[in-house]
Formats: sequence, structure tokens, C-alpha cells
Amino acid sequence: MKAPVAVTGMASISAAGIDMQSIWATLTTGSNTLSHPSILHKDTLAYPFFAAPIFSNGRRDSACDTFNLARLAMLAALKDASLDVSAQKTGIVLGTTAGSALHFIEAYAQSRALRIHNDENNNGENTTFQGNSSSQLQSPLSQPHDADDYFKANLALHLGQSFNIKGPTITLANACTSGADAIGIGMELLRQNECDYVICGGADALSLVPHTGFARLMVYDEKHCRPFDANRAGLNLGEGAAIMVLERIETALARKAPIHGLISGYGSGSDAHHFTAPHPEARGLLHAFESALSDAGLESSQLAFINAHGTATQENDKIEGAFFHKHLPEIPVWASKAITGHTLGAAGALEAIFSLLALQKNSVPKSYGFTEIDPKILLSPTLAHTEISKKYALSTSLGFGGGNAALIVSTDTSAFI
Amino acid sequence: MLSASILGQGLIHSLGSSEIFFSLYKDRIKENTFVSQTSVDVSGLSNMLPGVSLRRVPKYARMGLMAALEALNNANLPIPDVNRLGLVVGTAFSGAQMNIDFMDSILEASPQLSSPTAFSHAVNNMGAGLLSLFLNIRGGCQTITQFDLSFAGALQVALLLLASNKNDYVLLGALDENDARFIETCPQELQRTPYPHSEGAVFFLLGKSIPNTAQISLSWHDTIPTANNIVCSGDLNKNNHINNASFYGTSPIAQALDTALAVYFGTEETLCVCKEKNIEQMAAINIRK
Repeated sequence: MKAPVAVTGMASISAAGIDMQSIWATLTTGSNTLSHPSILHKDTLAYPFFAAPIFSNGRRDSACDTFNLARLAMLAALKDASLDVSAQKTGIVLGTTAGSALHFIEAYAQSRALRIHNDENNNGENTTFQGNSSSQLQSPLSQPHDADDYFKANLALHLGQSFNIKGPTITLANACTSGADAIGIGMELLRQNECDYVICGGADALSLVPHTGFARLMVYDEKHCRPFDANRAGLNLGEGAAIMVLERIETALARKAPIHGLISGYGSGSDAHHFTAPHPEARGLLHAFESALSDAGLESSQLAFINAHGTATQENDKIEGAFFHKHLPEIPVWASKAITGHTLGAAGALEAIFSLLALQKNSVPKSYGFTEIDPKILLSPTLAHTEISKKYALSTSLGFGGGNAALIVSTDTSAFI
Repeated sequence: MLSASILGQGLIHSLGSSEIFFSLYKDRIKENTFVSQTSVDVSGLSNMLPGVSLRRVPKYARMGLMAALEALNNANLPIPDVNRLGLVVGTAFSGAQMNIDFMDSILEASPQLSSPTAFSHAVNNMGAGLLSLFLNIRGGCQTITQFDLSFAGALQVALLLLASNKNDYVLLGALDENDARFIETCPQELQRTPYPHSEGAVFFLLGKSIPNTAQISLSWHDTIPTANNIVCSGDLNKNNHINNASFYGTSPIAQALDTALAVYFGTEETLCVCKEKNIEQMAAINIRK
């Protein structure tokens, strides 16, 4: 067993809410609505998503939206931790899936239109655009700051600079495991004494490009998603940010910081099987799980529940659900993405916070969206709110590229306080 | 400070293979005569892996595979336990060509007809994902993307994975490709040096520190640290610091190239310092032989 680290600040922004009280209320009542995708862009495909409730003044349709989501969550987490990190030995580890790269189309469209215009003039050829639904995108409509946004929106570098953080700086882009990996790497920065404090988590805002990409992969449900359900038809995208402030337990106790819980274990494993499909025996997930359990010095019987990745795609839920059914049959599984959608790089961190909330409340919420067991999976996630008494929870994340991450969070502070 | 041993390294670059790259550096015959936007020749990969398996692999990942395989071969170690071997890749812009291809497919054909394959290959961790698949690396796979400081961030993660005993070995790399469409969209932001853009991949096989091997460590600073032998890259190139950009061109993998040069040519100790534009923070990679 390695030393756990303390969570002294946490904040998240998602369709579930922006403060812990409202988030818990949403998680337990399932009262949430999907937003029409046209609020992202007029050309988006007709798949609804779970919007983060902070863009009432409009979106930039750029990576700055992700940056702003993360910045707001980070401000709230630091306030929660009562910590001014600028004078401290602090590191920052943030995960994102889309990062800057998938929020670049306005700037690129402007440049591309100019190139085509120049080619036409230089060659005398009458090059025309194909299609008409995206014609607006092809006009030079971008503001001059669009390309600049790209370079100002790298999460860890620019948030670190905003908050005068001078320690290790890491922006992880491990697709949908990014947020969980960021917390795991953050924990190791503390264990190896590279920092005294770590800001970690994940963020992703949506825009035309990532929304279109997931829609075109044909893994998107037109209605509310149904994780692990026999009739599931794909995911709903969501957007959000989830940030934790981590520190060693002795540091937190010395400054009398509130300890919301602990990060006890982290594991990562690669399927090395297929770029977009998980390994049929979930070998990467098994490695990540066993590594996290060993890291935490736990037996699986000590787990109160599992917060599953549970995207509601055919492949993810089949492999992940069968894994839980086979290896952890006695442990309740909670799937929460019908409340938030799949928030991509934020998901692992968001669900780690949800897991800590559930441990604090001694209750695992119902898995909304699920009604019927899939005979190929044989897993029934929580059908109703379930009382728990154990103090450890497992949160799993699976991603493009065959990545798997497992985090173990805890509220078992009795040995330390 | 965390440190690790460098057990092997591999490189592919616009200038050529590692052999050519180091030979040219030794002779400096290319200085100030860099060929603009030379594309890396990845044809040699078919001698290293079955051609049919590479059918849908984009050039970005092929560059990474070539450098990674060379690093593994260079280390000349028995095949490690694949569950104890990790992979950490730093990339500033990931698969830039596939990313632009996907946006082109939206702009040319409309979102309804855009290319799902281009999208799946446009995500930032595509390179690391494909490398783990081809090299059967199962002990975790991480991608760090923070422009000029991507390799430094990747090294930080690799050092942590070794120190925490999560991995016995880590394949650490820097990987970036050029795309003319991308460069023309933001030429001023991408032009870190007066020299033309280059592309390539640099990989190192790292292990826990053992004697008689080159040691690598990392520190973070807000001013340039003092040392006898400093090489600068990123946004430091324009401030009259010693740098190699006139040799290898403008590239977000510059710090990794400097590290490879230090391992190959360096004497006792070299500090490779890199700074991202508009960011005060800089990362210093120390190579001690």
C-alpha cells in the first residue's frame, strides 16, 4: 500500500450542476434535460447533448470555452481548499480530449477560404465548393483571435500561468481517460515529493468538430442515453470541468484544511488490441484495476461501489459490463452518464468527484437510463438508491486508443485524523 | 529530483534517419541551408513491420513507430514484461494532417458526410494508441500535449511512472508532423525560429537509474537556470541563447532533438532548456553521462 493523498478542494461544472448540493440533487433525482445541438453551431448534426450551464453569454466556439470551463472550476476548487497556490510548490495536471486541436475550425475555414481564393485567382480555374450546408463556414468569418485562441487555450500551461503556478505542468490528452489519469498522475507528483500541492482534473467544452466527430462514428443516441441497457443506442455527449486540489495528508492536517476524501489508488493499462474497440476480455481494464487495487493496498471486497465508464455505446458497455459481472459480481455498479452525458476529458475527474460525494452521503444513486438487462452483459447497475457503509469506491474510464484508467477514492480518513 | 537511465534512443527527422541526423550534426554541413518543409521518409518502416498491418496507419504514427522501434532495438534488452512497459508521448499538434483532413471533410462535404476515420485519427492520443497497439505495450499509455513543452511534460510523467514502480521501463517520445494547411492558418504563432519547419520523432527507452548509463532528469523554472552547457529551444531561440534550430529547423520536438544530441555527443552534463511562447515557465532537461 502506498500513501493516499488528501482531496482538500473539489469543484465541477456540468449539466448536473455547479455546486455540490445541486449536483447531488441532480444525481439522485435524475432531473436533467438535453440541449439542442444548434446552440453549438447552426450546422451541427441533430444529436442532443448535455450543456454546461455557464455559457449564457455565448460561446467562443473555440478552445477558449474549454479553458474558461476549467478556469471557473479551478477557482472554485481553490476557494474550497482555502489555498493560494501562487507562493507554494504546486503542480498542475489537467486532462482534455478535444484539447485545442478539435476547436480550430473557424480559424482554419478562414485560412482555407483565402487559400482557395488565391488558387482560383492564380490558376484562373473556377474552383467551387461542394455541398451547401456548411457554406457559412467557408466564408472568412473568423475573428482575428481564432488562431490565437488555439495557442492560449492549452489547459495546464495557460491555467498554470493564470494562477502563477511554477511547478510541474502537464496537459494530458488520453481521450476519455484523461481526467482520471490526471488525478492519478497528480497523486504521484505528491507521493514522489515533486510538489506540495497539485491542481488536477479535466475539462472539455463542445463545439462543431468534436460533436460532428462522435456523431459520425455512429455511436450517438438521438434520445437520452441508456448505459448498460439492453436497448442502449449510444452515448450523449456532455461538457464540463472537474478540478481537485490534492495534497499530502500531513500537509492538509498541518494547515487545518478540510479533507473531503482521499485518492487511494490509480492504475493504467493499454489494451494493445484495436484503436477504437476495447479488448474483448478487457485486459487493459483488468491491468488498470489490479494496479489501482494494489496501489491502494485493498481487496476488492472493500469496495462499496463502482462508478462505471458506462457510455451506453454497444462496445464499451458490453466489455466493461461483462468485466464487472465476471470479476466484481458482488459490488454495486453505478452509471452516471445519463445525467451528464459523456464529458470526454472531464469524465474521469467528474466521476471521481461524484464517487466521493456518494461515499460522503453513504448512498449510491440509481443508474438513470437503465431499465432492462442485456443478456450479453448480465449486469444490472443500481436500480434504486442504495445505502452503503464501506468507504472505498472504484471509478473506471476507457478511451480511444485502448487506454484504461482506474481510480480508487475513499472517505476512510480514520487512520489519519 | 527524479531521474532515470536512458537505455536506448531512436530518431527520424526531416533531415533523415538518426544515423544521417547525427552525421550531419557532426559535420554541420546543413547549417543555414535547411530545406523547407521536408517530409520525413517513412518507407523504411515496411522493413520493420509487416506492410499489410500498416495499411491504414497515417504518416504521423509511422514516424513514431520508426523511432520507437529503433530505441527498443538500440537498448538491446530482453523483451520486457509488456505489462510493465509504459508508453508516454509528447506531441504539440498530434496528427495535424488527419485533424485538418477531418475539418476539410466537414467544410467540403458537410458535417453529415464528414469522415469518421479522419476524426478517430485526429484525436490527440492517436499516435500513442497506435504505437501501443503495434508494439504490444500494455503497461499504460499517456499522451501529453502542451506545444513546445510537450516533451518535458511527457518526461515528467515517465519519471513518475518509473519512480512509483508502476513501470519497469517507459518508452518516452516526442512526435510531431508538419501540415502546410495548418502552418498557413497560424504562421506567426508557429514560427518559433527564423528557420523552416521540420518534423519527426524522437524516442528513448527509459529504465530505473543504473550506473554507467546516461541519466535524464527534469526541473521547472521561471528563469533560465545556470549551467556550463546549456542548449535552448522553443521561445528561447530568439534571445541569443545557444540553440540548434539553424540545424534542425523550427519544430515543437526541438527539446527532444536537443536531448538526443546531448545523449549522442554530450560530454559530462548538458541542460536542454525550453520555453513556450507567452508562458513564463520553462523546463530544463538535464543529461548527465
